[in-house]
Amino acid sequence: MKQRRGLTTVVGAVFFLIAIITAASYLTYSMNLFESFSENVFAAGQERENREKESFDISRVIIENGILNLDVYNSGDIPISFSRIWIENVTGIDEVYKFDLNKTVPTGITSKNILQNIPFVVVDTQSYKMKLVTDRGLTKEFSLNASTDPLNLQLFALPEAVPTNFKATLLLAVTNNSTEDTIYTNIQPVLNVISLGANATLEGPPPVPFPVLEKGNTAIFEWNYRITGDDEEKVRFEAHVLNDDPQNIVAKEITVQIIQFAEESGSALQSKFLTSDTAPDDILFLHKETLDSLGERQMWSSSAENNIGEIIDFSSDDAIFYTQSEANVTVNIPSGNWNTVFRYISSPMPESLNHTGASKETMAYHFEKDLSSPLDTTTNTVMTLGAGANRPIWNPTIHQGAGAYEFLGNDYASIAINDNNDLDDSPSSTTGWFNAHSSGPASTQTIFYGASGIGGDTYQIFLNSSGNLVFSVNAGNAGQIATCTSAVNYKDDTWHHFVAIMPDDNACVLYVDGVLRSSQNQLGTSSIILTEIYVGANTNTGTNGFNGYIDDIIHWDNYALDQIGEQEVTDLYNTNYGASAHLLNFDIRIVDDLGNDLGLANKTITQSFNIPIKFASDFGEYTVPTSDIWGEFNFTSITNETRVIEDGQRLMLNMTFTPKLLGNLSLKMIIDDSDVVSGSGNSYLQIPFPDKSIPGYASYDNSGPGIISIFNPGPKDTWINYQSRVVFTDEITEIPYAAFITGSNSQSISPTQDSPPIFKETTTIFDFDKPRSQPGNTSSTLIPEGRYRMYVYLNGYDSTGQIFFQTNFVGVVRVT
Amino acid sequence: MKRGVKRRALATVVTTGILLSAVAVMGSMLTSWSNSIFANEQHEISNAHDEGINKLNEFLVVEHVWFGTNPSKFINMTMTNVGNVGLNVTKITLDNSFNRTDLVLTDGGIERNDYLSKKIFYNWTSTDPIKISIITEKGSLYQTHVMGP
Repeated sequence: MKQRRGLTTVVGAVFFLIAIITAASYLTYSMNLFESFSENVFAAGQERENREKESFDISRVIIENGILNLDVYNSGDIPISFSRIWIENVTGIDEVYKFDLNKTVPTGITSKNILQNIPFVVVDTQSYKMKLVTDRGLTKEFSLNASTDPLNLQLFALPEAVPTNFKATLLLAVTNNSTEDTIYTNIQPVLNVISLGANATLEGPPPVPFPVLEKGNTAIFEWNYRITGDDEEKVRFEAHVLNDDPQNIVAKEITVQIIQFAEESGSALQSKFLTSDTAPDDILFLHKETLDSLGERQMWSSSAENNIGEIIDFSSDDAIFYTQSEANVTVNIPSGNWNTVFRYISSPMPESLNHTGASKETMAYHFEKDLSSPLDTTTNTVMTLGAGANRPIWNPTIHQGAGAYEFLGNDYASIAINDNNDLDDSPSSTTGWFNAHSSGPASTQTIFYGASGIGGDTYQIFLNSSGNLVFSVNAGNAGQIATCTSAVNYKDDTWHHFVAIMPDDNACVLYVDGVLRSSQNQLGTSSIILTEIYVGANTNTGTNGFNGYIDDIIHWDNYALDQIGEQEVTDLYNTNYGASAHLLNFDIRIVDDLGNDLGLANKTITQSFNIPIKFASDFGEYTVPTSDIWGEFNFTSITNETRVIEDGQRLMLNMTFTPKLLGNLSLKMIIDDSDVVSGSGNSYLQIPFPDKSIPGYASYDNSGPGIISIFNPGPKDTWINYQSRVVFTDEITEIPYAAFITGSNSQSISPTQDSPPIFKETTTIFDFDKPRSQPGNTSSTLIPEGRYRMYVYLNGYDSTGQIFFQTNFVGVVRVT
Repeated sequence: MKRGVKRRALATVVTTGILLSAVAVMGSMLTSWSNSIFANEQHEISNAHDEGINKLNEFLVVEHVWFGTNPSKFINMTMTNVGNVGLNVTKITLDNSFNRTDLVLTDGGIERNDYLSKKIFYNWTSTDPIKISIITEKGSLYQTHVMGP
């Protein structure tokens, strides 16, 4: 029995082992499968996570010479590899193209021109739908040159009614309201002008295309038009987006609305202290008068009195203005925007180069506007841009935030020759800025080229085939050609400043970016007399054309810049003719009657330092400053709570100039000049609309008759008759008082006698009676002391027998 | 007495042999049966695992769809395999709720990182969204909606 039990145990044990091994094998296999599955799940999850981390934005899409330039920004968390782009021409249906890219963009980087090498020509007048695809399957669709889906367009005309010869602004708002996530790129607005009697002339450059418009975003395009015409004539503006749905057009009409009274009368009113023009309570004009304004200048709701005005030179004067103080008057100014608007011109030269006589610059082109004949602000010479395919392209902000011209190899500008740029005898200097495209050709690229038709004389500044800057003075003698070369490759898409000086005949000195790079003196006395000058090429067909931007070409025909003594080269190199030409400080606050700071935070509106001011035309430095040459700058500060001008307090505006150590350009501000009509007109401070008028400087003493002045701007002589009068309305109770205008210079006005003639462009002073509750009735109530709104009603006729009548709001006047 | 002893010994051997044989036969049958069960289970688990892994690694995107009209209305769609394994598209369905087209593919194989374009004649409209359904051999379903221009 013992043997049987042992044998059975062995057999059982064998089977048991088999069972255990089998089970263990199965378990191990299962575990391996589970592990493999887990790894795959993890890997797949990682892949999905990576896909979610992928994100990119279309930064810019433009068309250059038919080549599509697309910039893409990797806004995700991992590198992106772009595998393909699909391009569908939706103008001609059924045309779809696919291009492989294989372009990887690291995280946080913008990759430029990723489509530059695809063999596809884009036409401006056709619309394309494009889709960019990554190797993880992420796609982004965008539309070039608008799309077949209508965009949401809104057109605004500001204002919709203007006097003739005034400007109106057209704003086109284009909103991407796509129900899909489509991005529209290179949005090009089109504005058609249809005359309905009136005419519109575009002023300033047309808006540039908007590069990328994402879903939900809005692009704003702005045009400024000067409107001319007769009363009630209209001009219609129809706007659409190039290649958009042709039915998707928005339109606005602007109506010419003559200021009837002024037109009928041909005269305007002007008082000794008061002005004729309506000035709303929130507009405080800056005046030249200093009476009662603490020795500084007045600021109050009264526009310019005449076209004389005053120019404040910031290099020697600060611009400080005070409103009037008045007892028992409290003015509450709600929270809101405080806009300082001032009109100014920039000095043409930094301090060291402010020369006169022969040392003064004789030619200066800053390219602030896009004109076929760009303005030489010295007024001495005339430049003409090449036409058609030879015309350089103006970019409004490319250089220091201001304009410059881009030359694309066959563009040029020619300058007519006269005594101011013909060189003649040494010395002379030519300076400017250039930015050469790195993609430019390996051949001569002309920046400035002067040549003589006789003897082959040349005076030229150019990049050679290596991109080095060369200044060459060739007076026709082979052995005496002076050549200065800066052996640096400037084809680097970066702005550089050159100063080319011809100190003597056959001599050259070349500075680049303020550093002396080369000089040469071949001796001899061979003068160069130029007969032609080109910028950007050396012929009028664009030969040896420049590829890049050129700006601020300035020439001294009889002066060599002095670097050793005056550091003039350094000064000019550091001069900013762009968005930060000047630095101004703005201090707006409520002060006490004597102009002392009250030391309270709630009396301060703003104290801002070194606000950059854009270079405005220096044209006025060379000619008589008249309307429309003045630059305009708006400085806005915001208050979040009410500001209170209490009993006896004043509002102060203090603008001071911060001189720069190098490249210091001063500026001059114009105030109180009725001829400055461009934009909103004169220099002023606009405040949030107060609950009552801020005390002004006009006053009338009710113990005697008052006087007013009437200015007749023409074109006809006029008379006024006995019905003309002044009217005062109490600012609070609105109780009215009035008085007749009684005469002028001992010549009374009566029912049988009109006024003496008011000749065109002259001013005549008139008397008016004491204002009473019943005009002419001396027993009626005399106007009491207080604050009144004053109006003047004029009735008369002109030298052609046409009658006129007008009512003018003068402003708030104190009666004492 | 001697004869009696001899019979008992023989019987014991025989009995033992029978018992051992019986145990061996039953044990072998049981082992064989369990191995068979385990092998089947392993095979099924292996298939399920492979199928799961492949489906997990399959990833198809509809890269581009465009609409044509010449000679008659059609849709041209491009699918890209951005997964980790090759896949086989077996059916594409276009459906705008009143017009359904099933396209059964026998050449729908797409290598990893490769793409497949198919032109399908379909009477699309500019107002009705079209549901595109793509089924792979392993049963993965991909869907997207498009709208005619």
